[in-house]
Amino acid sequence: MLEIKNGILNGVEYPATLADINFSVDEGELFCIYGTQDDYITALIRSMLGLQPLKSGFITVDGDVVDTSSAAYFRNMFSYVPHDLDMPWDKITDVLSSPFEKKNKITKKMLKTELDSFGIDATLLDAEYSKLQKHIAQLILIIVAVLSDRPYLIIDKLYSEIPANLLVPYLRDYAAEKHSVVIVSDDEDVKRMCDKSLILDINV
Amino acid sequence: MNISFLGICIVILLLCIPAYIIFTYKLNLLNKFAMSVVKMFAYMVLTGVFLYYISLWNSVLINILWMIFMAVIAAIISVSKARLSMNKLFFPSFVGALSVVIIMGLAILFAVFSFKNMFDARYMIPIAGFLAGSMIECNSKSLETYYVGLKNHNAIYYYLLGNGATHGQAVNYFVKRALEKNMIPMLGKMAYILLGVTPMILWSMILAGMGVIDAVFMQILMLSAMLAAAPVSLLITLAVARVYSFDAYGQLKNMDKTA
Repeated sequence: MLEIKNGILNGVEYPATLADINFSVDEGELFCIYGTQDDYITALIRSMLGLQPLKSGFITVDGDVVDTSSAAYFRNMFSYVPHDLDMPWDKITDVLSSPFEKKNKITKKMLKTELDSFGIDATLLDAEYSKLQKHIAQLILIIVAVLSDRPYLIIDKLYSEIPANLLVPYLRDYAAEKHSVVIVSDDEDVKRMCDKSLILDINV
Repeated sequence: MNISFLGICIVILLLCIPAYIIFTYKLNLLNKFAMSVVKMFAYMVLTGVFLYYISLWNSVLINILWMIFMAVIAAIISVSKARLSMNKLFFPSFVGALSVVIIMGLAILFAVFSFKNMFDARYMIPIAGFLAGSMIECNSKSLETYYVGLKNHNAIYYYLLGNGATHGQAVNYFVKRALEKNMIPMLGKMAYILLGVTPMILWSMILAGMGVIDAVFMQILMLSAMLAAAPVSLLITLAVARVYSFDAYGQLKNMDKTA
């Protein structure tokens, strides 16, 4: 279980009237962080990944507090799909040679099979990365994250071009295999289809 | 070699040539030229005074202090030219420069001059100067490339970190870019060094009584050391700088000059 208790985000302006952040994501759950303000979302995502501390409150993973000494260990339990896709790759398949550990070896053939289920042309895997549409690149990274089979998956600011009615059931099947999924989105459909949500719309 | 009045007149005459050309063609470079000449004389006089006394004393301790001083100067200029925080990067840059000047310098001295002569000021001082000087431009460009890249194009860094990569794995792309930036100037300058500078150095060494083969070997050794010095000092600098550049969560600190 991933839990944030009485969390106040660091590095962003925080109105005094705003309530602390409290939520938990259990195994098998899809959790939506619904918001549009990039700096708060970035601060929250980085806090969850142990890349920055909370101003106050704490984050736990499976009951253990995430801090400077444990953050790197817990990050091995996370798959993270960013919104900023400005990567120095020639092709999207360069992600398969990324240096982080993967439980299973992910092959191009496996990616092609998954892309077929989304009705996306698998030849895009051979296209130049810089010419790939952002939402396709993010979808492929989501597939890589799912195939990496880690307990927690965080998707930062889902591109709205990815159809929710295709993606959310795919992620639900993944969550059902004892995974927890956190999706950041400003799409009402995604929020509606998730099990729980947090509305992160802070008016300063 | 004796410096004669005629020699001094020839120096002045040679300097008058570019001055005349600038004046005649109205090149608007007179101030820059004058500043360069003044800087050259000031630098050469100061260096001459330092080297005169260092050679006179020829003390191992003073020679080593001079090598340390060279490393300090190299570090200050590298960080300053990279427009980065001196507070955070002086020490890592100094450690990188010192490691190369001392270890590589002593290795070269031992290889060429044997243990008996390696601490002689005639040999230690120029080698320290060569090594320190070869690092400055390369390291300043590569430090700037590394930190500006991490600041402005950090998507890959956070992607790798967020997926459990180690810090070293996450910065690897930026280290590679910094190393490319580090080695390109030196590799590019090799032609200039070989054609423009090497003949002068070889001639000086032969004039001083060294055999031709020894002089050529010495030159190859120095060029090889200069090629190795910059990337090695950069890698050491970046390793030491990690503590000063990143917080406990792996976030890059503000590395701007004013920070």
